[in-house]
Amino acid sequence: MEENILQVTDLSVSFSGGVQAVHGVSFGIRPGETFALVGESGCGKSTTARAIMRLIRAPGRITGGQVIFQDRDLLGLSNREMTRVRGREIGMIFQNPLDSLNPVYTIGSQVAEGLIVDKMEKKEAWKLAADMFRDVKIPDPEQRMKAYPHEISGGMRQRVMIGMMLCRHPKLLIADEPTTALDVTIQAGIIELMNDLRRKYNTAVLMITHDFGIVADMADRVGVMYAGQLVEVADVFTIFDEPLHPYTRLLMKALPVITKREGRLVTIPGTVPDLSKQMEGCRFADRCPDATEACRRSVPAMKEIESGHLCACHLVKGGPAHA
Amino acid sequence: MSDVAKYILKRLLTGVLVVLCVTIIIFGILQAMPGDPIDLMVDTRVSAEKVAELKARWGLDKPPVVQYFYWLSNICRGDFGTSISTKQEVLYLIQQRLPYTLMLTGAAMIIEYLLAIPLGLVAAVRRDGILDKFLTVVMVVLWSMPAFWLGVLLIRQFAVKNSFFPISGYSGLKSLVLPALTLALPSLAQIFRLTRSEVLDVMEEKHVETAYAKGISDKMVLVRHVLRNALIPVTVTFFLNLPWLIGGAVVVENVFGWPGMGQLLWKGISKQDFPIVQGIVFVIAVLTVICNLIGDIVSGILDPRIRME
Amino acid sequence: MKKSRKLKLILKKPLFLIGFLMMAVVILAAIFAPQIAPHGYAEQNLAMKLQAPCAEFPLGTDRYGRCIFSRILYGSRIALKVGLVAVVIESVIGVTLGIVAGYYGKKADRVIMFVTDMIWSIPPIILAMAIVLLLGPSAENVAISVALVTWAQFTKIVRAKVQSMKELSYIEAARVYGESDLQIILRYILPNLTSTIVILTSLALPSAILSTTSMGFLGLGAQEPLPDWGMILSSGIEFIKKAPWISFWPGLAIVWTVLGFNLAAEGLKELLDPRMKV
Repeated sequence: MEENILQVTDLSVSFSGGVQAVHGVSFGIRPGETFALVGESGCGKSTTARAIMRLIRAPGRITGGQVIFQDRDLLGLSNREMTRVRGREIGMIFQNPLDSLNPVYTIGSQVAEGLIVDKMEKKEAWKLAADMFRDVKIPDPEQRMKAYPHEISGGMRQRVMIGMMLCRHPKLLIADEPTTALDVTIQAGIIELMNDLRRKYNTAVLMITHDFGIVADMADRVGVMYAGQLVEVADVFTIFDEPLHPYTRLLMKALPVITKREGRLVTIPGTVPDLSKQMEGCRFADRCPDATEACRRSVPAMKEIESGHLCACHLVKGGPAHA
Repeated sequence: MSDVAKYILKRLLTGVLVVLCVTIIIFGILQAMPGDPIDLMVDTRVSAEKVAELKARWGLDKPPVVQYFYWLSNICRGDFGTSISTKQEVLYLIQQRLPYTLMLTGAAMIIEYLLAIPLGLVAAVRRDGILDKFLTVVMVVLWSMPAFWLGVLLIRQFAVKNSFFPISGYSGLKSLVLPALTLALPSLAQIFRLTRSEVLDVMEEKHVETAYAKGISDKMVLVRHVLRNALIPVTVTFFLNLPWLIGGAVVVENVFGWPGMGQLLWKGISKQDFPIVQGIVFVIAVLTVICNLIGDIVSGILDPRIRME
Repeated sequence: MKKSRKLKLILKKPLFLIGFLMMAVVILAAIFAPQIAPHGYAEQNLAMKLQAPCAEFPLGTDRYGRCIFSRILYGSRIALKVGLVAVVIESVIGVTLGIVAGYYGKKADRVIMFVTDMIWSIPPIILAMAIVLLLGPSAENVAISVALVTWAQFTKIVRAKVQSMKELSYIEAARVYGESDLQIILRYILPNLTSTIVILTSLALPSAILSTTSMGFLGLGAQEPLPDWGMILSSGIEFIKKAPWISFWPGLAIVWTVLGFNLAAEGLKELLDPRMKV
């Protein structure tokens, strides 16, 4: 097995008032693979992504863990070193492409800005940016680069974002719900584009989403998060066909069978627990149909049930504890 | 670039309209005055024919609407009449004093802009820190301070106790320092607070996160993406507030005996010298409209979204 | 319950508490001026002119030997009265026009906004001076003229607020039920504007006091022998070397008052609507 390009271990993030938004999350991503992090809104998946990029803002704080990226712990880097990792080695695109571009600069200059940071000549940067515009299938790049974000459509803006983050050929691209704010008709095009480009440049992708259609379209492996914790990790086929964790099973049941590809998360009875409270047992215990006394008493550890299939549940037997 | 030109033209027309309305207001105030300007201007020994001739020249024998256009056309030709008290051409008096007022307000503007924005930025970056709290208190105190009192304190400290600067009047650039500071400091607070809050707002915006994610350094993000965007509303407000600054100049000129229009205006008011008052109010109205226009153009340049409207 | 907890929170912030205390001092001084003042405000004593502060005249005397301390005490009545009158007139004009512009929109809105923009583009002090020239200098006329040039700040904010309120479903419903515009404005819109108006008024008061004392400084306010703070200060400038106290103390009184009211207004805003942009 190839070595992971990104290895997250025991990552925890807290906000003020003791809210544990992310608690002890561990997973790895292999080179060129797409790993999807799924879960309901507020489950900590976006926070995990931001923590990897060290973009957590006060009052939030990374309270523990390691983020090993190509043999370096990103959490141990100085600010200046981290700045050099961002954009150049790890790119990130965001949910809302309208707000994600600065309204006062042309889209071309915003794409070129990153290249210029890499000490590239301005002229060359613009040429490369134009090539990238062609790559993300924006017609008439030289002309379009002079447009401002408000002058182009939402789908086009997201293409610009993708181009902006891929033009420096990062090893890893983090995509935080990149299609959620877009029309359904445009979503498919963006997904297709991302699939094409990640193959072309052999970029690993960390995909944050709550949309199982996208998971099915893009992901190689999937991590399911609940209330700040990772509860199950498996390859995409296993997740859909043989989910182990009760939460994942309920999620799958909630998907319409025939149109699994278009299905979205449907809420499960009960509510997500208050993350500011200290919890004794499994965080899903209150909503779990099969919860036992043990579930409420102690936190289940992540166990490797089968090769490559991890699950954190007292009710799922077998497998050694996973580091 | 053509939408920029269109935008400027539209703003220019609005400006002209505002100046026209100001002339109507001035004329209205004049009309509401007891007695008419000619009776006030000439003394009783002047013959009735002479008075009638003067009235005809000013169109005062015609109905108010016609009078207004007479008056307007005179003003447009730069004929503001003659001062009642000094018998000098009002235009000449204004021409003499205008440069000093421009010098004073210009210097105050530069001080205000160059102090308030960096301080606002620093306060926002060090939010809730000691420096932020200190600056906030200083600004509230400045904001609550009448310019004329600040002027008196500065005179007392720097002109009377040790003669760093002249007490009053104009005698070279050195005498500009105290009046310009007096004018700038009290209005500093507003721009400071706006800069601080706008910078904090922009920092919350998503595109700033994108800039960080791109690997732009903290300093560059702050300058290129945060301050640059925050400057749009700050600059608009800065130019919108210029009338207050020009108004403040009237008071400050009187504290420092500064030979500008404000002092002339005050003399005109205390001596009921109407031609001087109208002339100056008109010139100041034109000045503020020009300032607002510059503000519009600058914000149009700073913000590509405005040009689209 | 929630409000009182908030109030506690604000009182914990020392600046707001200081503001309220400073404000209380000014109001008490205005009420009890005759009891506190050692002399009458117009009481002349030419033998004692330009006296430095001493036991009899705590803050010294002016060119006519009048007690500065007593004049400042009595002057607080003028400053507060003129500021208050100005703010009342200005808020009535501003709020009314703001509601009309915001509620009716269209032509009424365009006319009102044009007038507002125009008022903004003439230096307020200068317009106020022209109005006082027309009406004649006095404390009342200063209040009127300051009100006439500052109402626009109310109009702009109230208009925006009413515009957003108009979209609310219960106001739409009231209109469908056939309630008249006036009923809707009085029963639904005005009550919802209360906190906005209170905040705007409390912020406008200190700046009105500042503007009216500026007019007093230019000699356009209350006339001698009435003790207008601005006028006392300007009368002292020619004695700045010999008798600096004449100008110093009334200025301090103005800063004290305006600062107190400003800090208190900030506290009030924090309490009612901390997110409001003024």
